[in-house]
Amino acid sequence: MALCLALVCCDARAQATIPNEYDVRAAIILNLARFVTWPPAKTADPRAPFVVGLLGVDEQTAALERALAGRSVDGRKVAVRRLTYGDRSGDCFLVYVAAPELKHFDEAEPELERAGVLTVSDNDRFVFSGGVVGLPVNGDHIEIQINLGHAQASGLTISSRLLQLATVVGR
Amino acid sequence: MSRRLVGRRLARLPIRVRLMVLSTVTSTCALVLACLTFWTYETAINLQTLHREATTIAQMLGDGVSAALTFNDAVAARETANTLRAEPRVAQACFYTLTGRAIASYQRRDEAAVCPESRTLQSFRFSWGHASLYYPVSLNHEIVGSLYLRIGLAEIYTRSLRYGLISAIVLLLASVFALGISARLQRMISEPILHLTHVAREVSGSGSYDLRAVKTFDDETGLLIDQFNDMMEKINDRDMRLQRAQDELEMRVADRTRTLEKEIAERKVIEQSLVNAKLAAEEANAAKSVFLANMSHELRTPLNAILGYSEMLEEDAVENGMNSCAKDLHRIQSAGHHLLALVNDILDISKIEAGALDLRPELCEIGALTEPVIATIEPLASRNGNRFVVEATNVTGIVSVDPLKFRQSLINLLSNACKFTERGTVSLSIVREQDGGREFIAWQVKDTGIGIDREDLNRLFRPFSQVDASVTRRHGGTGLGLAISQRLCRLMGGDITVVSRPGEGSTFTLHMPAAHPDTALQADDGQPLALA
Repeated sequence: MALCLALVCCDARAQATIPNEYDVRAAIILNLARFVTWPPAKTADPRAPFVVGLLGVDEQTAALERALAGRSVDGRKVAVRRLTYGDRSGDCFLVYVAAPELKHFDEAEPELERAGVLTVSDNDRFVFSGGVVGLPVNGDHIEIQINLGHAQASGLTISSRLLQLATVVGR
Repeated sequence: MSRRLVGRRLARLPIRVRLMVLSTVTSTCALVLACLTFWTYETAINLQTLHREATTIAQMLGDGVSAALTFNDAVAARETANTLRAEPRVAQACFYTLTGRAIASYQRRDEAAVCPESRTLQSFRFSWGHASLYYPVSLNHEIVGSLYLRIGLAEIYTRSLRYGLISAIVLLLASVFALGISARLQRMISEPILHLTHVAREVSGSGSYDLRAVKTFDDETGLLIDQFNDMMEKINDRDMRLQRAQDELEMRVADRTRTLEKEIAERKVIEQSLVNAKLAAEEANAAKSVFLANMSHELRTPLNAILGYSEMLEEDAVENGMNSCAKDLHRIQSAGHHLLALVNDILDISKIEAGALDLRPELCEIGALTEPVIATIEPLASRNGNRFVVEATNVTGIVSVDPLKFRQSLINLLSNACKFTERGTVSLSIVREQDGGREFIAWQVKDTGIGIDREDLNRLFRPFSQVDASVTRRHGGTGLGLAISQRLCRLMGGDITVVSRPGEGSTFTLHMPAAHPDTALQADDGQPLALA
């Protein structure tokens, strides 16, 4: 199955380049949350905000901040938190790892895995180095890569519907 | 209009055909109704099933395509859409994202169909040849897009058509079957009726009421046949009785005719003898009158001689002082006068009855007519000690009468009154009276004498019928006076009537029609009235 995601404004002529790749990815990240079930400990408090951690800063984090402002996931208000290396990130539902911070990811990974956090990055190697979801550009679209082993280790359940669309690794 | 036409055409058909048509049409109608009902029900169920299946397909498609719609994955959506190839009923499918953009579509057999505008509300509707379904795609109770399905109805149409065809065939077979059965069963009703009709026609054709219909069933037709036979029996019976009565009547009529003929013949004989008798009587009467007239005339001649000579002898006897002779001669003379009066009266009545009396009517003034009568009567009245009163002498007028005969009649009445009254009053009054629009002058002669019985009143005016024969002898007279007077008055257009009661006196009235001077003139110069 071809795991391809058509871009939001998927115009036949616009497929050569990816216009505003960051906005598209931001939308994908928000939609990912619909197909993921977090461990019960995380969702015990229904009024707790859906905290999205942004580890590091780059163009993508700026786009995410724009896209997530005022949105909600499963009835929870989305709260964006900027993180730097060493910050506590255990109460986050989702952490986006910006390219500059990837070098510190190995160290942070065990804690994130324990806390059941969905880790996302745009790097094509991210899923092979401890990350759960990778969203690299592949040709004219953004590919969804999912490491099912890491997801299970983090206590995350990912919907089969999403898996149909994604490239699954680490099974 | 057409219905009346059909009704009339049906009414002309024989009852056998009508019964068959009736039962066949009834059963066919019932079958048509049943078939239509089942067909409608089947179609409704089919459409309902289609709706349910379409919804199921849409639900499954939506489940499969929700992720693709969430991530705008056109390729994944198209792959999902292509799974519809296994479902031949789906003609077209379209997938829309939340923004309403169609990201994937599917057409069977490369139909160049364009996706319609998306709708987020679920709806199912039928159009010609297709049913279309809009179905919202949701994920975790959140709508992420929608899909559109167009389902061909060809299959349903085919099935309905097949169902209809089978129904029609069944209907046709059932109708033929019903026709066959009704053709057999209708005999139960039609056969007795046809039989009855046949018998009735034979009866009316031949007129023999001995024929009877045969009863086959115990139902209403059987009852009808029974009644018919009963009726025939009665008609037959009545016919015979009528015939008998007619024969009897004819015999009676013949009898009666014979009797009547005999009676008529007898009566004719009697009638003839009566006519003969009448003629003989008339002849005899006429002969009698003629004889009397002649005899009276013949009688008068010797009588006059007797009177004349007896008068002469009486005068001589008086001159010679032979008083006893004179008295006897006077008796002879008065007897002769009486005999003369009798002969005159008989002559008069004979003339009247023989129709030989000549009347000479002339116009007379009442006063001039009555005056001499009064003068004549006054001495007569005083003879019996009677008072004579004349009333209403101021009445004037003219009557057309024979004065001699009129006075004779009036004197007769007055002298009768004087004769039969003693020491009483005799009055004469003249009045005018009206009777039947004509004017009359009436001379009323009223006395206070002995009066007349009711019985005697009837024969008072008949000849030779003085009330009492003894009276005639006492008072003299011939007994012809009243008869003559009445006949004379009648001949002159008048009459004499009487009102009387025994012991209270009598009133005789002489009526004469009053004459007008101008009309009377004509009568004056005319011939003497011929008397019938």
